[in-house]
Amino acid sequence: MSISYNPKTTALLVIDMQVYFHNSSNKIIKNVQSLVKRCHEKDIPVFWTQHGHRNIEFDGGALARWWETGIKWGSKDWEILSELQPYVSRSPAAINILDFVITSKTRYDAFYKTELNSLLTSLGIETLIISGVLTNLCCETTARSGFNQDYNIIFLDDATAAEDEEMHKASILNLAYGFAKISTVKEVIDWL
Amino acid sequence: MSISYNPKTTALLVIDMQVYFRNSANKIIKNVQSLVKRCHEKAIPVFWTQHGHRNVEFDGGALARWWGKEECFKWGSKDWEILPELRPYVLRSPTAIDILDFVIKSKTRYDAFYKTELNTLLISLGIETLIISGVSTNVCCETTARSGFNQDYNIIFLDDATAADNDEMHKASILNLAYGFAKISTVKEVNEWL
Repeated sequence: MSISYNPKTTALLVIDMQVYFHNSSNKIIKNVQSLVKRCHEKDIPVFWTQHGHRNIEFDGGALARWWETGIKWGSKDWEILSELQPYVSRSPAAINILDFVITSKTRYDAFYKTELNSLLTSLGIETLIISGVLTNLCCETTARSGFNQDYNIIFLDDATAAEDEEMHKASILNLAYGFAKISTVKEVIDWL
Repeated sequence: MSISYNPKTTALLVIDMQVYFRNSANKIIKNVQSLVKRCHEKAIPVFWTQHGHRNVEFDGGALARWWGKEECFKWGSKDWEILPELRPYVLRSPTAIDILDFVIKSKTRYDAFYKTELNTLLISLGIETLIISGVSTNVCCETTARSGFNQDYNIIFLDDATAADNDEMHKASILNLAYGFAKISTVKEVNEWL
């Protein structure tokens, strides 16, 4: 049950841990905190995503049609959860900053029309650790998209959360089959 | 339980119904045949995909690492061919851009959009809605559905014209796609709607 990838070329994605998703994300906040702390200790780049629509007529697309609503960029709902804000470390200097915040995300896929892939490529990243919410929407879509683009994927069972257990398990089942090493915060922390 | 999209701007995707996937594909062949026949009757564009690797060192990527290079079947091989039961249904007109059936042979990942001409062709035809069929439900079909949704297509995902390695995975896909991506439908419902 070990991870065979190289920690030195690994990055952590913390997906959409925003006020809007408070209900689902509550149960994984502690695990995300400990994971981010470990990544900072080990100089592993951390990417936070903030999903938001600046102009939903223009950037809402199928997402807005499906949910008939959207998170407004810059709103209180859009902000990163207050328990996690102290963990978002930024250095305003140089390209080689530890934490990145992707605020251009307008679809489930964190890669889609964002700078995520460019940044990962510029850092020589080969492996992604995926955490955040929601397991079966943004986390899974991002994992599948990352796999298309040849990243190794480590998907965290206890640092992702869905609206219910059935959907969470369904994602884990399918991702384990074709996409990702399914792991836990404990295992990843030991491995890094 | 009805479909609210416009049939006139709809296309059918028949994903990876190739010899290599015979085991999973077998049970949905009849349904795919009836679906394709109906699309032809109604002038609905049909897109077949043939997944294949011309040079797995170069185009294998994460797929080759995950499944092993030997599993990444070769472009042009017998395994790569469309199932013989379906080949008569692949209609092509060699003239004009407005041909009925398209065959996407540039697919090298689960996602039928990834580095293929699929999106370009769909846009050129003014397509807004995709009907997804083929194999395997939870890998290529689901990844393509999610990718299509990113790109703002309406998605109709067929429960009885997609198949996975086992029923558990098939149901898991349907559960998640129904939640955030797709109208889940059946061949019967779609044939009537078109």
